[in-house]
Amino acid sequence: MNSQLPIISRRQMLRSTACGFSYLAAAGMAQRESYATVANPLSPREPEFTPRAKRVIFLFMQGGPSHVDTFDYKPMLAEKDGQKLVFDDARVLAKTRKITKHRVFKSPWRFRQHGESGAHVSDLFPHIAQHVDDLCFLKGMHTDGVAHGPATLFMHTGSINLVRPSVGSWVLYGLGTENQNLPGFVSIQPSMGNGGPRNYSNAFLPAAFQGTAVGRAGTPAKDVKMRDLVNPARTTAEQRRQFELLRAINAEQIRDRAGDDKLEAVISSYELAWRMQHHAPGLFDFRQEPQHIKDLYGIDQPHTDDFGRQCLMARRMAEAGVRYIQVNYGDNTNNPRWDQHSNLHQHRDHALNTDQPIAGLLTDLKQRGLLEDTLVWWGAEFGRTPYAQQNGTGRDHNPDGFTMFLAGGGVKPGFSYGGTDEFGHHAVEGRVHMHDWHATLLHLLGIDHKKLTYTHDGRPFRLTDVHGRVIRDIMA
Amino acid sequence: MRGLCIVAGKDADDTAALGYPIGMLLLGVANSILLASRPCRFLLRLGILAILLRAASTSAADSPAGKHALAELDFFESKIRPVLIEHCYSCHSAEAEEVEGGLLLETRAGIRRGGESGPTVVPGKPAESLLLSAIRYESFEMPPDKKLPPHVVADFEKWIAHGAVDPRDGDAVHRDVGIDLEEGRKFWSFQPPRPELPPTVRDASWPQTEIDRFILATLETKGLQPAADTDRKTLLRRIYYALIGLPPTPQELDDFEADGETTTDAVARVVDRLLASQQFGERWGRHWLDVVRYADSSGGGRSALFPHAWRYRDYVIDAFNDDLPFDKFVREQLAGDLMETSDWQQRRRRLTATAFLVLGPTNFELQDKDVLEMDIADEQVDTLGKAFMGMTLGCARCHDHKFDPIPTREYYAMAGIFKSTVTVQHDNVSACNTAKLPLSPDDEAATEQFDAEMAKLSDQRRELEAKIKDAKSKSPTSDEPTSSLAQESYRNQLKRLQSKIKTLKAGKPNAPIAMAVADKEQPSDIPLAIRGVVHNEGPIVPRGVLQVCASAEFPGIVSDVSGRMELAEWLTSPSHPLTARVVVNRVWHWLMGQGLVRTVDNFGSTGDQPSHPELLDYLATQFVEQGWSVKQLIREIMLSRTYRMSSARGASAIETDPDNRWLSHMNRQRLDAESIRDTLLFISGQLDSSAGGPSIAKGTKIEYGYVFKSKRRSVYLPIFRNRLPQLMEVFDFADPNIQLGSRTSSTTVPQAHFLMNNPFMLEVTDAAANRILARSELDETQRLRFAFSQVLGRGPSKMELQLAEALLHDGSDESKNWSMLYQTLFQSIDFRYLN
Repeated sequence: MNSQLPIISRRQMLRSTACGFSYLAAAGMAQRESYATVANPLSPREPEFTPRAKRVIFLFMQGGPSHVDTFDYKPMLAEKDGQKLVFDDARVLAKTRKITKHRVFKSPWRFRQHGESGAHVSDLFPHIAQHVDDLCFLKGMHTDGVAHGPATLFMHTGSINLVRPSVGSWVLYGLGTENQNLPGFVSIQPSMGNGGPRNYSNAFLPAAFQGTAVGRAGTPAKDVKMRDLVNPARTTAEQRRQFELLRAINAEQIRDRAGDDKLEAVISSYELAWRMQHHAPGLFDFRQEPQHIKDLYGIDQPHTDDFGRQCLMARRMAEAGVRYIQVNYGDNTNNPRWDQHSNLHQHRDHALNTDQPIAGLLTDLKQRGLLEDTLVWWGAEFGRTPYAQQNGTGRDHNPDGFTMFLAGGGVKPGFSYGGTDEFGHHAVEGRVHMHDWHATLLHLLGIDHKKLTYTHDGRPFRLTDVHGRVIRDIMA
Repeated sequence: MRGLCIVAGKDADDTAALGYPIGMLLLGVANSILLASRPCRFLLRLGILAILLRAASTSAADSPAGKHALAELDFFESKIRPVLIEHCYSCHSAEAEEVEGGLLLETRAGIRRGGESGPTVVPGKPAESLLLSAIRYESFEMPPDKKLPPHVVADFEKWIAHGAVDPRDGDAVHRDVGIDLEEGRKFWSFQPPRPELPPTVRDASWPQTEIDRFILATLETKGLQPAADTDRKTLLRRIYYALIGLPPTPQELDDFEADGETTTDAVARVVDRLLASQQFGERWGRHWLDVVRYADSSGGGRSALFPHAWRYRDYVIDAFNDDLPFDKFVREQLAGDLMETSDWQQRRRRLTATAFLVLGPTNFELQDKDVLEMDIADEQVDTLGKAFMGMTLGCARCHDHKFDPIPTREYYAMAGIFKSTVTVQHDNVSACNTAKLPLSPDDEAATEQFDAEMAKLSDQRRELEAKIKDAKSKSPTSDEPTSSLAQESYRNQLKRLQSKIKTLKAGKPNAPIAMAVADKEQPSDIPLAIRGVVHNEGPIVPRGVLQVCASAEFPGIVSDVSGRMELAEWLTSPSHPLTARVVVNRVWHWLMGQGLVRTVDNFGSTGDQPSHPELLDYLATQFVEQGWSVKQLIREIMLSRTYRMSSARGASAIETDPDNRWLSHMNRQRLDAESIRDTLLFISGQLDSSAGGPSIAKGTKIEYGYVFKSKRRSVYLPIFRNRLPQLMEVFDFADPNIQLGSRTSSTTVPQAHFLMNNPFMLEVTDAAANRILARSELDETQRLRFAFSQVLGRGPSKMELQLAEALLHDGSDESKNWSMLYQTLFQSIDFRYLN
């Protein structure tokens, strides 16, 4: 079924093991490429048509940053500040089917125009503001789900309730991955809340396409590592000795069962595991990164150390050929990070924590020529309301109008697409539903979202279900 | 959310001409031109009017009515058609690359008939016209990129209100998915099972049971030979894991090999012993828990714990151990709360069984509670469809099933039964429904006494509090010392009383709670949800069941019940074509590694055809005749010679039947996650074999960050939907979010990493090493034989022995060497597979 990992040639393996303990040379193994790769579900596959992007870095801003306080400038909010006006609030509507009055709440932050494109950015993001001419804003976003759980799952899987594969799993299923010594889909410090592992799950796709969680939200990024890559109790020499014994015993056990793919796959999974064990830890070892690069990301600075490290990991993974990388700015609570139902001023902290690392990542990708074929996606499960929640000091969720931004990977730089009404409540033009964005993301990677299907329960499934439009207007 | 639905579009204009007046014909042609080029729209409009004027009689055109009609037509041509062309045709006409929603708007017939969601335009009735609500962004959001300006929306409203005059003839060509039930019933799985007689075979010496004759007959027609019997040790390991999910001990292996009886007798004895053990239910109950997507939390966004779910798990384990007839088992899970009961234990069991309906992966946080209730009913219909009937009913939520004869109406007929059932209690974040379980007479008496006592003390407290209040209110004015004295005394009394209450509460009798359902007070039929969208209501559908399963009679539902009992009785009717077949196929799958129908949850037309249809029918009819006994069925399969075959493949089998469809040999099966974990704990001497009871550690509020410390059998670990023990997760444990009768069996790098480096592995192999080193009566070779026997169910080969000895003699840390050896054996192929 999905047990077809690359198969080490049996003869080759017997040659290296059959005469007792031939000493295993880890370096030599890593070099050897003569694996029969026919059946490897993760081997790179040609996209359907020429892709604009080869890989994705998704910067997930959990909780829902307010678009009207960051990138979607609405002078009307200052003009009508404090007035009680009628708004069809999504949550109130879903619960009561009623439309009620809410107090217009102006942004506490000042907006300025930046770059040649003249994009508005609030003072929350002084570093990102320097990059607006590389960014492509989607200001007419809308999505399904008013609460975090449903909307977060919807953004990751295209479904608010049913169990579906996540975007990264679909991408891996469609394209495979470039570096067989590393996982192809990584989620850095994912939240355990709001769907938790379902947000990087392969659901009914074969297990090879599941996302690999690296660390989890709520722990310092400094301590992040992949699970079970390091043996806590055995020396390297002992591990080698043991690994050689395993190879020999497995060779002996498979001797009379030539050609059984399932058994050969087990052998090959150990070979891969052994190689990954020697390659993957390098991703988290920043010793070779020069100081000016660490500074770029704000590493070792009080606000930016955590997210800076996550962003640098992402760049290192992108460089190493990981296909889909999600960087999570999140936590494990029911009111995650950007979720300011009250005390909107806390947005300041989250901006401080993420602004410089994101700008650093953009600079670094660009100077390495990686931005061209890396699609960077900044976004969240929804935006926030332009009015105060319950006449208080924060904003409620707003799934019907919010902003995401993109960079690199074949999108128009210095461009803005779509927009909300004069208050920033509903997307009114250039509306892009989350399904549409999923379709567009796949398209940028060279995949037709209607053709990327997987048959389960007797019928074909796809990421966009029966929906999704490719937004061609944003493509460079 | 909804199914992947692709409906083909076809040129709409090619049938327009025949039998129509010339004017209309020309309009059809004009249509095509309009589709092709927009700039000449105005000229064409004039042209069309001219043609119409010529075609119609002059008097009619001059009459007021005629003028009115022409004005309407002009309105359509100037205000409506251009908008349709510009904003709609690219997705909703024959020229679209792919027609969305089965909706074709370029003809009058098409726009009125509508697509999958029903009529788009109802002349004269704007409120009923989906088109209008769609462009208002109410039902749909059309066009999706930008709302039309308000004046255009107003034009459409006006046009529809005035009768939606529309000259565009021709027929919109849809793929009409009318379902022909009579035709559908001819499909094999909807035909009632036939009591088949075992066939005759050429080689009469091989078969030992009826099953063997079915298998051999097929092999003979395919030109294949059955594999030789496997050796006894391999067979015993196979039987142990199949029945109890644990390995035989070295002693049991030796005894079985030395058993002087015939293999059949020896097997019968072991099988009977294991079937009677508590571990049998723990193994087979877990199989069933996969089928019903059992979990100890809701999953979804804000995952809620299910602290009472374990009662259902224990119910299932007991049901298998007691060999509860399967038909009763089904009825209890669907309608246990409605069944008559003879005593409190039975009532308790039956209430608990209905947790089957409550255990789903529900997103209780959904804010629209109508949607939430419908989602729950959907999940229930889908799960019961797959679990009991092998039918993917979920496909019919939004449209008639594309592959099986299940109309959407019947889907909502069944959903109505569950919408008439209480499964959830609403709040901002809702919660699952629970029920107080009936008590034993002793507990009941104790509870009554407790309640009475508590009521008495509460009354006393209220009185005292009133007196204190009274005394207080008097004191400032009366200024009497007696008043404050009285207060003092009341306060002391109150203190004594409160301490009494506290003591009483501490001894509160046990009040067990279970997840369970109940009928709603006013059960009712529900409307069909057009395209699966709850607020898009279609006609009301009377509650009922699948018409295609005609062999089982359905009595209908009286108005004041949900209909679950009727549904359950219909499902377990001996003449139901699916229920018995589906379960015997599951049992076959659990024992043989592959079902006779390989798609165990899908007996529909997209599923697999049975490899041995006669055998399947034979087993199904026997099963029903013998009182739906699962143990009996297991015994019959395990005592067959088929079950005893070696897993070594013959050359001709590799050549002609690489998937082993005809069963010329045993399927080599991988140990599942629970067997791996339980074996690791068993061999290291750490397995806690206590049975039943709660799984979630006390004081747990959420599943995130839960530490799985328990050393109990895997079936007793909490199964959180968002957090599983790592071993279970990497070794393909059934995803508790979906109904899954057949687990995947993947081979991945994280599995290798787990076995190589995870601290749990190191802990168990250290323990196993210390355990064997403590056996001072054994020398090294004996120890090696023992260890191989524990882990692999056999002694070492000569080469293996040499390799192992070499490891043990390298380095000085004996206990570490043994730990490494155990770990390597657990990593080896022969541990991971059952040969």
